[in-house]
Amino acid sequence: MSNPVTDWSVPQRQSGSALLIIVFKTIIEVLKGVWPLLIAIFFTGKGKSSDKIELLLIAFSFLVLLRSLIEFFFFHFQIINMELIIRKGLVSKKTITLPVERIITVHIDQTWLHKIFNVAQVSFDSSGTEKTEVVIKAIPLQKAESLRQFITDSKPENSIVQENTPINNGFQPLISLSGRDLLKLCISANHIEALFVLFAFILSVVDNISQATGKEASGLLAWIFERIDTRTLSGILFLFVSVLLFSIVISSARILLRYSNFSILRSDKGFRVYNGLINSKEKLVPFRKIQHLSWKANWLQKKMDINLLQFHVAGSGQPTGKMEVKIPVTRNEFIYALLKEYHEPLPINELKAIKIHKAYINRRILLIGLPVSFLSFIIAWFNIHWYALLFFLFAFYIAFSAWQFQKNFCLWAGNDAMQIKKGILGTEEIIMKWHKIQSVQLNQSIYQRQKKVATLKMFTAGGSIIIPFIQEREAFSIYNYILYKTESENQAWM
Amino acid sequence: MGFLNEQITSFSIPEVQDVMWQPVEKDHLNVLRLQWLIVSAIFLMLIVFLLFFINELQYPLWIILLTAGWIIISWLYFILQEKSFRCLAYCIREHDILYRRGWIIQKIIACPFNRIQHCTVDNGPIDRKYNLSSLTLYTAGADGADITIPGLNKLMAQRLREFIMNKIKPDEQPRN
Repeated sequence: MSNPVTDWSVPQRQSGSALLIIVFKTIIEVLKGVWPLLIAIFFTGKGKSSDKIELLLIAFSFLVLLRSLIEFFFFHFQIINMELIIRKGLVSKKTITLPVERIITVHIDQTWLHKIFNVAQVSFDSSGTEKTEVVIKAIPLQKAESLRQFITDSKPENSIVQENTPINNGFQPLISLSGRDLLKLCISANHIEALFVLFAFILSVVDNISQATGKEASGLLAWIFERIDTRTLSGILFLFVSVLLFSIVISSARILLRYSNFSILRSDKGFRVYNGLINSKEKLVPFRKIQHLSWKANWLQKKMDINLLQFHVAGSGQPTGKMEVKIPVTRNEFIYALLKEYHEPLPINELKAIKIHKAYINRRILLIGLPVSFLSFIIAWFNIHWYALLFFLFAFYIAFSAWQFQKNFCLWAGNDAMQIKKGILGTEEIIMKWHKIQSVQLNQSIYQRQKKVATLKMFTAGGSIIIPFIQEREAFSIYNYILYKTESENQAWM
Repeated sequence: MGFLNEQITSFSIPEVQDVMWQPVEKDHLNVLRLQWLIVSAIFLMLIVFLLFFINELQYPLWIILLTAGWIIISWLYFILQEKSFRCLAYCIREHDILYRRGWIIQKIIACPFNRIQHCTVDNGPIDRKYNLSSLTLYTAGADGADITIPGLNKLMAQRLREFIMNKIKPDEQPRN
């Protein structure tokens, strides 16, 4: 493969196809904003007001397209004196300067549109927890890889990495998903979540259409309920099976779109995660950026030995969640392969398990279960009378879930890391090295002080971990140990 | 190299339970009381506004309910503030800073100096009246890991900031 060598000190423009991609994205953005209005025009027919709306739409689209053209023609990037410099804008000019040594990861993403033109979007993560804001929307794929290679080679610490790593530019394949694995993931996906997402989407569409047209758009739902007799068992069963099948189809489609072509590659510095059927995504996870790891499985996934492993990397605690890296793990040995680069699982059989105090159950019932049930009962009493007592089932659910959580929760504190196992019906395990902690908080309510228990909250750059209602003595021991480890050992957290 | 994972032995580790807490300046209580007065006055004005302009509320029952609600909430707010003030304290150790706050839920927050990214000193108009400042410590931690210590003497806050900035100089930051 012979790539023409690019002189990165010369200002570079995005690929010509970037213009098409920017225009397409702009059109989609405009459509997302005004589609209820378009439906209204379509349904209400042409009138005086709809003519004005059309004119407004055309003017608005023209302005946004003009903005896209400016975005394309006034965007240049170059690397001078080991600094990536991006200049953009016509009226409000912006220059972003990012020292190459501060770049931690270079992401290359391809949507289906990028694939058509064989281009890619390149984005950069810098040290610290700021969100990614340096993005080149489309340059030829080869050029994107060449840019990444240039940046990797330019960093002094990486200059000696490139040998003995024969596959895929220094990356070796670690995990990939077979068709059978995808099928297992489809079966065990959270269908209830997919159903709620679907319902929320349908409701928002119905609401938008009714607002835009000024008419009741719930006719479709009424039409469905007219044809299904929900008073008979067969009608209820039919409705239940239809909804279930529909949500399975939806969640399976989500899984296939997200995890087709999934693979993880490994190098000396980190993982490269590649996934996506239509929109390909590639994320780089440098080992040093990983703050802690967690892997969880719902009840069905637990039975099928499937886990969803998450790298909590620096910055993934941001509300946008853009930095989150989640990996489906279909075999247990894969978990160990991924953990190996961070910290091996603790020998939990040799360590004393720290458990949650039973007061946790009472507290959950008293503070959540009973107040919510009682309020719901009072509100519902005026409409459904004695049936309102059913709301007290919620208190039983809270009691059951708190009891399960208290029973299943275990914390093992090792010399240089801790491991947590928790869950109600499913399980979640977390492993974290002590020196990754940024700050630690010990909370005690009046009730907890009486019961001599405390809640610990540990903050890392990748999110926080809460250990509720452990013995006060144990909480202080962990608290003191965290400070001892972070302060006495000269280990970098990133 | 074999995998080592020894169990924790905590007896030689400095304990946070033994520290001498340094309370914040007493004048901070005046700041809190002034804040309480302003917030309560705003709520009272809001209630008067509602009673004056909404005809449906101009009955003795509503007037009693809203006034009683205001008195109870303001009184509770005042009591909680007074109690919470007594818990406000901090402690500077060789390698970290500790901050304690809260009465109903008491929180002890610790932040090692080698995890602080930067720190700032702020003071509002009421703080300035009493020559007070707040010191905020920023870490890379997510979900509100930053610490703000209010009620410090202005000079003390500046000195603390300088002390912490010296502690977190880049040449002392370890790298992998």
